[in-house]
Amino acid sequence: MIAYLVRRVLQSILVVILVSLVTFTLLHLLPGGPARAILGPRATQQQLAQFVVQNHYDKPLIVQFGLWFNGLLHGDLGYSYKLNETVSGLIVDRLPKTLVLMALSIVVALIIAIPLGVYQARKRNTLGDYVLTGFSFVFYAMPSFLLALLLIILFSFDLPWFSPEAPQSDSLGVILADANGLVLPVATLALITIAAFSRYTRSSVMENLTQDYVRTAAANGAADGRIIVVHVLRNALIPVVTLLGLSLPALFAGALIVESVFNYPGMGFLFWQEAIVRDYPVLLGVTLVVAVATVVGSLLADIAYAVLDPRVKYTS
Amino acid sequence: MTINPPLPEHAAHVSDAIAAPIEPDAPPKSMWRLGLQVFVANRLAIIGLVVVVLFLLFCFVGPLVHHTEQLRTDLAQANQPPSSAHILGTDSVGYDEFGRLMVGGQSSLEIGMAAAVMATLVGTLWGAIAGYLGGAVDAVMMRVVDTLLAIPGLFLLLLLVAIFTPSTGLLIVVIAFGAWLTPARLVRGETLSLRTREYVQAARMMGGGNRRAILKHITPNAIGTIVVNATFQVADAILIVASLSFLGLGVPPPHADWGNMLSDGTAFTQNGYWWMILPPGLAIVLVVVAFNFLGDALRDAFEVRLRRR
Amino acid sequence: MSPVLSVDDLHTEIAVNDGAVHAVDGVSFTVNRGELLGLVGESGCGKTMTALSIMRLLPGGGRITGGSVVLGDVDLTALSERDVRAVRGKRIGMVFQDPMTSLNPTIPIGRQVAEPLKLHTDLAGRSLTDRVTEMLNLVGLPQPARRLSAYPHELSGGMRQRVMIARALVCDPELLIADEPTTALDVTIQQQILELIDDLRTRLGMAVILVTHDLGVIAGRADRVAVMYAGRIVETTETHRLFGNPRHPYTEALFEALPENAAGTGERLYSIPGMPPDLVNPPVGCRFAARCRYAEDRCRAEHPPLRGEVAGHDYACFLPVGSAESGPITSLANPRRAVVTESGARHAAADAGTPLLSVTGLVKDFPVTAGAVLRRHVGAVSAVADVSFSVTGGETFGLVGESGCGKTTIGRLVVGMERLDAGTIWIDGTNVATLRGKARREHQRETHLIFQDAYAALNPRMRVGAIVAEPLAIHGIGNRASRLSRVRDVLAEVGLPSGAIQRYPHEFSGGQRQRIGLARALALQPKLIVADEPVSALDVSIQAQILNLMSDLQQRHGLTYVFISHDLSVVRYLSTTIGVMYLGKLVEIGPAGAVYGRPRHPYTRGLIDTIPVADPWARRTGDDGVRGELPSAIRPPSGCRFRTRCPLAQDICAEQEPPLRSFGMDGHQAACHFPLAVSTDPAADRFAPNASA
Repeated sequence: MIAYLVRRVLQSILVVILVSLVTFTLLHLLPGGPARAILGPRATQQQLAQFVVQNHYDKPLIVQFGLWFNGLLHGDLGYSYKLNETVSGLIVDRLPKTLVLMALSIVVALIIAIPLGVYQARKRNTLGDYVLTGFSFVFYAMPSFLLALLLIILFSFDLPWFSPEAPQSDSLGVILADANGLVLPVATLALITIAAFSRYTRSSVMENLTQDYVRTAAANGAADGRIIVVHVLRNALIPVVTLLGLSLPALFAGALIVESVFNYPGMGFLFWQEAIVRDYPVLLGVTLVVAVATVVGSLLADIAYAVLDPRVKYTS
Repeated sequence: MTINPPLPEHAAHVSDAIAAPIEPDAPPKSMWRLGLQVFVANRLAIIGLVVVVLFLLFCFVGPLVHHTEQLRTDLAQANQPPSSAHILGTDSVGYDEFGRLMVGGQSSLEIGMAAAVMATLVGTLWGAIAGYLGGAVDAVMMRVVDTLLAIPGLFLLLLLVAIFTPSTGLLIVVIAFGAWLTPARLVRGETLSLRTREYVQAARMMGGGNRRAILKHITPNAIGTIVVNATFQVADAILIVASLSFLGLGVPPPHADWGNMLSDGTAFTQNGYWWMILPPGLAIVLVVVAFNFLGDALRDAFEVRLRRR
Repeated sequence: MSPVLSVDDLHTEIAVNDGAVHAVDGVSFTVNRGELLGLVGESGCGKTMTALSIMRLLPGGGRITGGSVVLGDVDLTALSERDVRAVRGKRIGMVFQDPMTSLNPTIPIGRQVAEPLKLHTDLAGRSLTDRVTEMLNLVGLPQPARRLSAYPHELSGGMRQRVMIARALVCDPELLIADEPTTALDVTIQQQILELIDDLRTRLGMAVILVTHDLGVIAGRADRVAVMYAGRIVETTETHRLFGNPRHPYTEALFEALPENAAGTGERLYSIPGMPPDLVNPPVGCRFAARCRYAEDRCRAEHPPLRGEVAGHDYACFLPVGSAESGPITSLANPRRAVVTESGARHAAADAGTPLLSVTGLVKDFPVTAGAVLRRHVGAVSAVADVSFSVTGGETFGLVGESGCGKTTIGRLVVGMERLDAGTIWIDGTNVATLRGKARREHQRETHLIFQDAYAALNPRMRVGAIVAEPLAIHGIGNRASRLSRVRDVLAEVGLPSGAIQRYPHEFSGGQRQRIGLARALALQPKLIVADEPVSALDVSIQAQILNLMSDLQQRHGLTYVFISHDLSVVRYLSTTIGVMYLGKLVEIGPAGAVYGRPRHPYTRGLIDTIPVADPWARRTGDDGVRGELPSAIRPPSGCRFRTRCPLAQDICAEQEPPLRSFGMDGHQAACHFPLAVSTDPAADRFAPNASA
């Protein structure tokens, strides 16, 4: 298992380096060159020249990449001229809020999706299963912003239960304290995740229910409930852990949209706002951070998988 | 009881008793016929097909039948609820919603389908080469896929759109650029697994070369996965276009798209102008669900070969 | 003494798309304390369904529609689900076929064995663990206390099955049902497990129902036998009586289809024509009538009841075979007599001319890599280690051995599917190992490999016609018309109608698919066909059909076969020469009769002794079987690779690898420092013709 994990970690590091390479390439593909694109159309030649020297854009590309990467490792992700802040400062401020939103949604989603999936697997092809499958299909097909809008219309205006806007604050603590404002954003993100996860759990549990070891447990006199909880789940949930890792990109994307609709002051909202005004340093910085977060997340998922599945320890 | 033990099959003893002997009179059916039978028997598939066809007609033939003004704004008519003059009311600058729904659908469907086709072609080729050649080639090709997959799709797309501000055509390329990764992974996996099948080994044992193995043995057995995935790609692409347009970074104006119709409507959620939100939203959901039904049904149809008759 | 289990007129149905399969249609039998009842039959006969019905563990869509199953004093069919659960695992234990998939891969075995105790008893903590350890000890698992936290995949197949048995018996049930418990295991391990079950039966005083398709297993172990066909019992009696005096034509036909009964006689196997009936709409009369050589109109119109003149021997037939005598039975019915002597076998030209296939010094290793990034080469699996043999044209060379011995690898090396690491392979005068490119392709026409899994070897999306014509297409022979004509010809030769050309593989049964494989093999008229376990996945009657077919084709076309199998009786039937392999080494080789009748190598002897023979009177050794488990092929034992399991091993066996030594002039060789002495007592040879009959 150690060998497997070491290999995965090295792989992840490689991917992170490659991602930064991609970001770096995009930096140099910016319209008009990086200097013009970042400083804007009103920058003077002098300012441009100064910028170029400052950021080593006159050096050979390889050297640039080395310097730039070195900067990354020291936390230098560039400077946003439009917002007048360092990109890393912005990210440090916003990233935790996005992560909290995602974490809450994942927890809620798992708490609901797994029992739902198990229920559907046990009662497959009954009315209950069909209805729930129907819901899954619909939620799966619904873009997150549409779902957000519908929830707002239903629960903020028609039934004034929850706030249509997320808590606005710079402090994470204040945000978390305002539970009412968090309900709809978390619900939106969770509902879509539930649709995917319950379907997956359902098919994983169903597949395990046809396995021979279930028959052996039944032959020992175990009841259905015990079979599911003690035998099936530990096998069926292992791929769900992998799915979680694979879903991180989609969750980040979902978070972006949810933050935009609800005005949640997270990193996704920042990204969107700056995309509209073409604030390239922020865009590139956030892209890099989000990619790294995804890689780390999926690495953690793989580690969890290796820990949970005893067979992994012994395969080369 | 709900927990059902597996049907016992002595793995080593194929049941000659259950498989029916060949009836000399029954005409043989080709795989396509069999697949078609399964497909047609699936009610959801028919519903999906009907919905897709209806929408195609609605969006492309509709405007020819039901003319509305989609180029010049008419602010006096803005924000009107549904009436006899405007079936679904008007939007914030006076365009007829019903007509806009049709025209917007054109963008969504065109871009969605074109992007899906492009993504599938590129991804399939990439994955097939990586899976078949294996070794270092596979490792390198898959690292590329892994890297791009690490960047969440929406972020990558928004970034690209922000940098390149594409026209509709380029938008298709940008979306396909995000989407080709999934079929690449999928096809590589299929190819890897098919490569080790006994019938492929048998072909080589008889003297067959790589070309024969790929063309005659691997591709026909992988087509199912590819087509099914392509269908789901269309659904995903439509969702992506809608999302990008909603965020204001999708289809460039003055083109209409269900996504930006929805983003217009967002400003008026409090006012209760449902006709600006529900129709485009419903349209998106219906079309995407329809393509998902089709994909599932195709998947079942292609699994026909696994059925023991 | 009342029976432990009494099944009376049991009916079980399984719902399918358009109706229901009457899988068990009126089955009645009893099992007494300490008795082992064999429930025997081919696939689809309903034996497993009967077993599952007793446990009320039917698959989805299955239900008991009639009859009763009385355990002691309780009718299991009338119990609620909850009450049945109290019986399962406690009063009845069940062991299934595949121990790998029947154990939960993510739970340590200690906990799995403890599960029935947790469900049915109050044991906990220390006393629970002690009972589990005690049980694991009883089933012969080495060092049980240390293994409690092991996972199933860490154990070998035989050990896993022992764990399964422990789990089934841990609550001391009255009845054990074993459904094909040894089918997935190697022959030498099989014997160990059957020994174990037998031993536990006597020790714990249980009743045992052994469900199997293998008549040899039944012959050695069962007290009584019930033969099932198409959902019904067609004959039931005490074992010796069944084998010595079968009354039902199906039983008789089964015996005649067994290759071991025909070995060395040069006669064809009796293959039962046709296929078992459709159980959705079963025929009105006797279900075997359509395939029975004695059937008359009465048989088709009326169903014969299960009864007999002699007490304890019932059969369901209007025109029984055998005799109605009630005296003791002392020998097999109609034992085959060897028509020709051992050394002058059917294909007598054992020394005629140059061999078609000649293999020398064959070595093949499969590298094993480990390591995080760079995948260092840490060792190699020694699959084939310096093997040499030759095969004369028109002969069959049988290559025999258990899993991991390298026989499949040799087959693949011969047809060029693997590259060898050392050695030469001469086919018809050409060293094929050195051929490349075009010459290699040309030469690939001379050989062909038939796969074990006939379905996997056929492209499911290609029509049979295209599949069979593929060799012609690959080598660019003929045009469409001539290829079609050739396809028709070979299909006819293997007994398939030309209507098969347009169909797909999934429309055929297992035996038919193997015929398609044979047809494809014949398309280019190769000289040498390597058959890798071609009949292992087939029922006895279908197996007989295919073996007869292969034999016919060989005679008609002068084919040479390399027949690879783990099943010695099949190999013995078809082969002229036999080679025995163990862990990559050829340990014995020689004419079939010599290797079988007078084995020199202890492993060969062990293999022969452990094959279940369908003869209750055959001499069965209790302790001489092969002990222990297969060692690792990455680090095989030094010197003689068999020494770790050999009862005769001495120090020299670890130091020096024994060379192949000749015994006699007929090419019989064995690699052993202490070869077995040949016994002159004919009774010692289980396969010698029965002089008394």
